[in-house]
Amino acid sequence: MRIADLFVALLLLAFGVAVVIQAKSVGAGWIRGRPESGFIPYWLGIALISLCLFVLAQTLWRWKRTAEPFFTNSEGMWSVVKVASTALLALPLIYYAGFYAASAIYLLIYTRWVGKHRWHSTVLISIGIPVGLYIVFERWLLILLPRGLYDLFGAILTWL
Amino acid sequence: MADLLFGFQVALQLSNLLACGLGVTLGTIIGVIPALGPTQGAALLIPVIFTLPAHTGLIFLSGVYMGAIYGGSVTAILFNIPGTPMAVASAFDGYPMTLKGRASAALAASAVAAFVAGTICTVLFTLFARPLAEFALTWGPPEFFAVFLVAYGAIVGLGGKSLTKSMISVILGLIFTTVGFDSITGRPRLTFGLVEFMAGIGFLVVVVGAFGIGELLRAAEESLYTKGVVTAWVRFRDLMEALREMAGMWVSFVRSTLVGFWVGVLPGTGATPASFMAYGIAKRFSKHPERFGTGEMEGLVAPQSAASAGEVGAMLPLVTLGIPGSPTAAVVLGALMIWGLHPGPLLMIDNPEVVWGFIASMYIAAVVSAILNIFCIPVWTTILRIPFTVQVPLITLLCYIGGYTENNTLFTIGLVYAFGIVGYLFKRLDYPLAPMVIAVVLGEQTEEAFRQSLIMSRGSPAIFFETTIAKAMLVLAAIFFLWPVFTALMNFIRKRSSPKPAPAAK
Repeated sequence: MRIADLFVALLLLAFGVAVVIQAKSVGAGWIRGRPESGFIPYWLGIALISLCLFVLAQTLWRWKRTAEPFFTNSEGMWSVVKVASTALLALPLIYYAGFYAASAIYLLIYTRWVGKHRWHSTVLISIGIPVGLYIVFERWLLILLPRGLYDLFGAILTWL
Repeated sequence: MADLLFGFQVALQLSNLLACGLGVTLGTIIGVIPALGPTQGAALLIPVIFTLPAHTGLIFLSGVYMGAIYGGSVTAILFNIPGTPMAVASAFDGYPMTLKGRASAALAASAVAAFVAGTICTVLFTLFARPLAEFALTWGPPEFFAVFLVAYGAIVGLGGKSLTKSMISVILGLIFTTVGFDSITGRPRLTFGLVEFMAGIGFLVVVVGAFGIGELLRAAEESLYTKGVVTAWVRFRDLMEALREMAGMWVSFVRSTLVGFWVGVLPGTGATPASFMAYGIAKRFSKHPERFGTGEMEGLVAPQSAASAGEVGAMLPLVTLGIPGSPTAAVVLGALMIWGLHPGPLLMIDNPEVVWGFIASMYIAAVVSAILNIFCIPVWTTILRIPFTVQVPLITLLCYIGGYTENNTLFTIGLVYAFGIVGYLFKRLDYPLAPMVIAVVLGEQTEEAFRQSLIMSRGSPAIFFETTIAKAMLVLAAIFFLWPVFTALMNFIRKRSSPKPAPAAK
């Protein structure tokens, strides 16, 4: 847990430094009696850096007292990894195959590999949910979702 | 009063009634599902409703969160799995009641508490709304900036978590709002060379990512699952019994409702802290505090009424001042901005049908919610039959859709995922997320108020101390920010002055 704390604090610190540098590049002072556009991000970045340093110091100060592991059991860890990795996988899938085809593949992988459902429920869900989303969003609400580079879903639609 | 009648005229139109009913139904379902609460539920539904006119969409949202407040308590009572954060305290005595075989009475009491508290608070809301808005019309940018500081101070100082981490959360949210085009000079900043960042980071992306996907990751880690389905009907007999028992505790009930309302009105704190506070206060003032936690109905009614009161109260500063009283209200604020409305005292004048229709719809939503809740419990418990492993990808996809509708770019979907990881890490490492959400929603206006004030005063910071209101608000903000320091100091002094406790005899 404390390593995670350190890690996140350092990450936020790095972000703060990036913000400060970017803010300086657009000008962080005062011009003609009013703050420049970089003024507020600059000082927010400085504040973020100082607070992160404080958190780092706090974590190191309490190093001995807080020795719990980040994941309480390996089951939990693998659950998180599975959810996070499949959700990440869905992103390039959406880019290449379009939202509906990608969600079908994503649902297939998730319900089969993680959910360990039987094949018939897996297939039912993987086809049913994208179709349902299509009807609700594209037909009913007229919100167009990305079709991807290869537009598999569009191909299926024209074929039907 | 004439305002309220006008509001009812708006709210009772058929399309708006349907929107309300649909909202309550969806809200209850959202409340029942453990990984979704009213905050992320409302955020997920925004892409669905922004095609509707603003007053209808707002009425829909009021139904959603009225429904969600009750829906969360259903699973809390029946399975000890709170469906929403504000239902956690309802599980303390609600679940033991189920174990004692009093599930039906518990559900009835919860519905009645939510309904009565919601109605009382809507009345209070109606009384305070116009005077507060008219008062706020006299304010200028310096006063608004001071009030925004009060909002940040309240959520940081009264949140109860580590002051440093809360402040980091707020500052991070403010930094996110500065990404994109600067509204005053028109130049891009903090885009890190990426064209995609020029449009800025919308609040919907942050909420749906951090609260939606982040919560999913956290729930996955704790592997939530519902063991078996308890079919519970609310029998008429139990409803009457619950009403009789509640009549006996009306003092505690009114107290919880008022506590909940004012905690809700405070910017940043909403139904969740309200429910815990009400539970603690009810236990402290009860004649039988030892019975709390064993299935005592007062222990269920207090947090449930406070939660409903809190969310209604959170809407008061929202529609009058433009300051959300809770993270859920912040999402509603974001929705209003998407519709092109600017919440604040002017909203009542420019768009009275939106504000008063919204207020009137809260009464209606409370009634609809009570009716649905009493009769539809088995429906809600059936929702829980959907395995968690199917809920996860479905909710993820809905979050991605929500993020995409922000500005129709795939980049935004990636941002949603990134915020999901951030949200998960924050939740696990005790960085509170509510301050970040409030900051993302209010950040742009805060900066605008700050810079407009300085432009008005030609660079002199003294303008923030000119009017009494501004000075009073700045003092209040300082008190809130320093509150944790103050309480830590008091604890320290108390420990030093009290004698060391005798070691326990073995």
